Amino acid sequence: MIAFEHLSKTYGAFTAVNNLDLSIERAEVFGFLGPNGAGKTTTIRMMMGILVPTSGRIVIDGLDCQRDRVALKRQVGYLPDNPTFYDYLRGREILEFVGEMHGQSRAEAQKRADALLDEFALGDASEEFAVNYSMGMKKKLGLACALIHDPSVLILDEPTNGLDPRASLEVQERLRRSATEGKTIFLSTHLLDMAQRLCDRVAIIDKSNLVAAGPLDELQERLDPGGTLEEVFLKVTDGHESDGSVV
Amino acid sequence: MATRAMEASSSAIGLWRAAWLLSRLRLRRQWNQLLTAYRFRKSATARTATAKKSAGASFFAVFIVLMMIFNCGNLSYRSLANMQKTLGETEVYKQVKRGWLGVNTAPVTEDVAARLSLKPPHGALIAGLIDGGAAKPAGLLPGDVIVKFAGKYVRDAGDLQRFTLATRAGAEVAIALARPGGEQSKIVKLGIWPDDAKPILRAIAPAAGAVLAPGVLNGAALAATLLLLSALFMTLAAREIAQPEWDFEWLATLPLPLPTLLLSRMTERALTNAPGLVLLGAFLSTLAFECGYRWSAPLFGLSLALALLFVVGALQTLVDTGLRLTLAPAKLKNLQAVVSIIAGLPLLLAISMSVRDNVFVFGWAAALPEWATYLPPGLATRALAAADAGAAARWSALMVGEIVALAIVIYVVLLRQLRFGVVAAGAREAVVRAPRARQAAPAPARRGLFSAVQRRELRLLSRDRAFMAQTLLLPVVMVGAQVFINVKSNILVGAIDHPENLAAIAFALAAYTLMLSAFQTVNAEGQALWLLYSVPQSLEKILREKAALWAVAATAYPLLIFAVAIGAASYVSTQFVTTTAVVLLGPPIFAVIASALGVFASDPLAQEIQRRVRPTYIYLYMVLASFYAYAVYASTIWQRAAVVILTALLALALWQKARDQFDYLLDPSASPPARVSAADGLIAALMFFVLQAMVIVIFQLNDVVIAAPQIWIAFSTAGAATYGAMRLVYWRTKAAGVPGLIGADVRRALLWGAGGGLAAALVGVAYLIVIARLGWFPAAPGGALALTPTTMIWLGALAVAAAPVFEEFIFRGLIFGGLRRSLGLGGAMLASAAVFAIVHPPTSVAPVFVLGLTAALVYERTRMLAAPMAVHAIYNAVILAFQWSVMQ
Repeated sequence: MIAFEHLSKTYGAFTAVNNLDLSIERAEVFGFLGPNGAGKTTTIRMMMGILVPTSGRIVIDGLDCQRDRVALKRQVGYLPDNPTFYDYLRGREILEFVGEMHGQSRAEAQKRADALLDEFALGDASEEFAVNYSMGMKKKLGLACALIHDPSVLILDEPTNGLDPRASLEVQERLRRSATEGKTIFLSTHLLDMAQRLCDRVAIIDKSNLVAAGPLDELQERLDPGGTLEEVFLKVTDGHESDGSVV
Repeated sequence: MATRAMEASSSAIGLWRAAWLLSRLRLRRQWNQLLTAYRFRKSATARTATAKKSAGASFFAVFIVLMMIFNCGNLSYRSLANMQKTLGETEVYKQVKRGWLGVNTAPVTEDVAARLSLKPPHGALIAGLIDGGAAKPAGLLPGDVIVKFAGKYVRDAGDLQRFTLATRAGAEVAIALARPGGEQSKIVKLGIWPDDAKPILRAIAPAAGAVLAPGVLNGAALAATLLLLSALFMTLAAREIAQPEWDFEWLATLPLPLPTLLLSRMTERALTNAPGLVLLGAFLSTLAFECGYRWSAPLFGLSLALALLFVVGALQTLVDTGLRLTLAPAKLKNLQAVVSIIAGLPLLLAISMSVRDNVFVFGWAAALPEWATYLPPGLATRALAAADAGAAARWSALMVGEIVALAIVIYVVLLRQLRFGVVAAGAREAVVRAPRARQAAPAPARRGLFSAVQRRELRLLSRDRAFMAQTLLLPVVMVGAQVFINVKSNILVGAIDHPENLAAIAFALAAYTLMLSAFQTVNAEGQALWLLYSVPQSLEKILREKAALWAVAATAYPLLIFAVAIGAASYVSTQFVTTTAVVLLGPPIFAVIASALGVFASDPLAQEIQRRVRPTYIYLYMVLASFYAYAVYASTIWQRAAVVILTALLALALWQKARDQFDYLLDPSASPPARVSAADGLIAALMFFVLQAMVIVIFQLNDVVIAAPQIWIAFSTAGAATYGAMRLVYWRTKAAGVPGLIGADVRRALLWGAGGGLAAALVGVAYLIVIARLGWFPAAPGGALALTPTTMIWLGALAVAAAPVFEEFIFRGLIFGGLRRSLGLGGAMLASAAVFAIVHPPTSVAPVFVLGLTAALVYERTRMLAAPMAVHAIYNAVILAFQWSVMQ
């Protein structure tokens, strides 16, 4: 469903993503793990056509993320790490706007927006200007924007970042439901317990290189038998070269 | 107690230290802004948050500051000169008015004397009578000789002048005339000697204890007050006040007692008010210079300006604290919008004093109530204009006293405002309206007039008053003020017959609106641009919709103005209709140009507002807009059409370049791969013409007669240089879509070329025959050149060999090929043929347009440049042969 082919991105002398090769199956929940500054957000922005790969490419469902940028968006929902919204627009208006931009009629967009606002418990705040939202509310509104056209692929950058524990659980529940509906979910996070609960497979990148990939318990078993998840994470991202045993 | 006091004094910093630290921080920030405003965006590929400070940028920043100081000084100097003329001088009439006859005299010659039997020859011959003089109504005639003036014997003209000047105006004098019919006497009531009738300007005596006249003192006080007001309004109109973040909230967390914090805040704002310091400092320094201070003038001027700016700093602190504690951010932003509209007015009034010496503001100065000159700005001017140092010191002391009193009042009010702590109104969480009731039935699914993007844009416009005021209201105020101050007569009078000025203003309004709206389409998305990357619509389509919306909005101004003009005159002229058409074509074209330039100019990733738009592109936009204004003033329809077509094509070309940027807009390091575009074609065409002109100039400088060989050399050199340069650039940048000369099937190219060439030539010959029937035969190419065999060979070579190769590369290969990327076949053919036609002389525009269409079609079908080159060569050969054969 999603294929990274020799993907690299450099900013001048700095390499943000180095020769990434990955492939994600349909209906899989895939976790993209790594410390701050590892290149997670850069990779996700390249998936959305916001950044241009220096070399290599990403193909989602047969569509090139750069060349077929527009057509691809029909099937993809995106939540950025730090969603910023227009000043002077209410949450509901933004959501309806995104729905209409996806080609829905106004009535349809209104209906779907109402349902999503209810679902994310944003109903009370939906008449408030979105710039005034707290981080968690912005994140929920961004997730609603990502879901409004019922995409088959979800690309989520730190989806539970800034949410309170209850909201975080609700969002995870919603994602799990989407996964059972057959959606492919690609999410970045550094919350290991969430990755363990939600993801079928994970990839860990560190300093722009892929250091490990596979089901999380399998990685744990192989890299640090008996150790906690934190210990595995710290071990593969402590700056040493990867042992090359990518699964 | 003692120890606590000790602790407090050792930990808290003093007022002056705090004021200094705050000022330094603010000044450093201003300096960094100034530096970054003039730096290029994508010059470095590194993504450093803080760009390196370059010596070039700081040099440029210093230059800008110096220019501003110089300009303000110059304006102040001219204002004071006008003030002196209008308010400091009075017209005085002479007490004694000497007599005047109003005749031109000539010496009495021997002939005249003989004819009138004047013996010996004497008197003053009247050579002419001056209108308005006393002699004419009294019955004196040219040819008369004045022989006696009030009984006194007149020997010559000198006598006459001495006698009249010695007599008072109004006196009735008997004048004896020698006429052919005999001597006559007339009574003349003398007029006033012209020099005595005119008033003389005399400086009004200075006011008591001052070196300036009372009127000038008032004028200077008014100017200083206006400048102080504009400094205050500018600080209140600054975007800072409308931002939800309030730096005072942060400053209040520092370990400073509130009084220290408030006073240091006022001081800091007085010291760092750069625009205020430049405006007031320049004016007061110039005033000091005019009042007799020399090298110490800037010192006194700046000191007084700083003292006055303390008023601004204190009021600013009061207003901004008070407003933030009581108003929601959205309301604050609207307030800022309103202030930003009126902020320019005091400055405009102050500047108007430097424009003319009879501007209405001087009337205000004359009527300024006396108490107003005892306010701080008035006292500052009094201090500078004081006749002695003691008076200057007294006025200054009074001014400082008033400022301190004001500061104390403000300080007390501030303490009261902040008695519940430094917390902004908490309005960020305010719910703007109650949750909407669930609609029973959703709105019917109808196809609206506007797209989703346009509806969002209109909604933003209706809510964001700052945006609305800036885009829709400010242009009216700016242009209105210009008309008010600069144009003496009503612009609507005679606008139907001479619509140029009115049309230029209408276009300027539209262009200005577009600069603040369409230019900002990418910039306005700002940090929320990611949202548009998550929907299945191309950024080009979205921006096109926005540009269309703004084009319609901007057209409203010209439409309204023209409607008023027609309504006022109730008739319409042809000139008015064509000018109106030119103006109304402007907004769509410039909406595209503004949107395209806005894409290059905007850096949506920039954190600082000042860095989001690069000013260079705003200047470029203004230059292009003024180029279009040339179409409004151009006299012939051809010039107008040429400007409109060229600008429209430029708009398309710029849009194409901008479109290439869209995929790379949010990427700080990548840029689009090189591709051939219509913009390249326009640049190549320009280079081609400029090089031709340069070669001709070189010939002329070397005294070479310009004949057919020279024209051929200029044309071929320029063509070859352009061709080579473009090819080299494309080869170096590995550009895609470079037009190829020949392809696999050369025979096909030649067949298409021959067919197209003959068809175009047929049209051309038919056109020539029709034109000849109408008795309007165009001159053969080469114009005034005599048709010798040599000339014919050179011109033939030019028309059949050189012109096809170079012109087809530029007009078909680059311009048509480039346009084809973003336009359909028909549109690209029409646009490229239109621009090809307008660079030819008016008489040959029609057939050349057909040639352009044909060549474009042939190139489209073959994709080999050899084919349109063949079309062009055949066309030129047939037309030349036909013209020469007919002419001989």
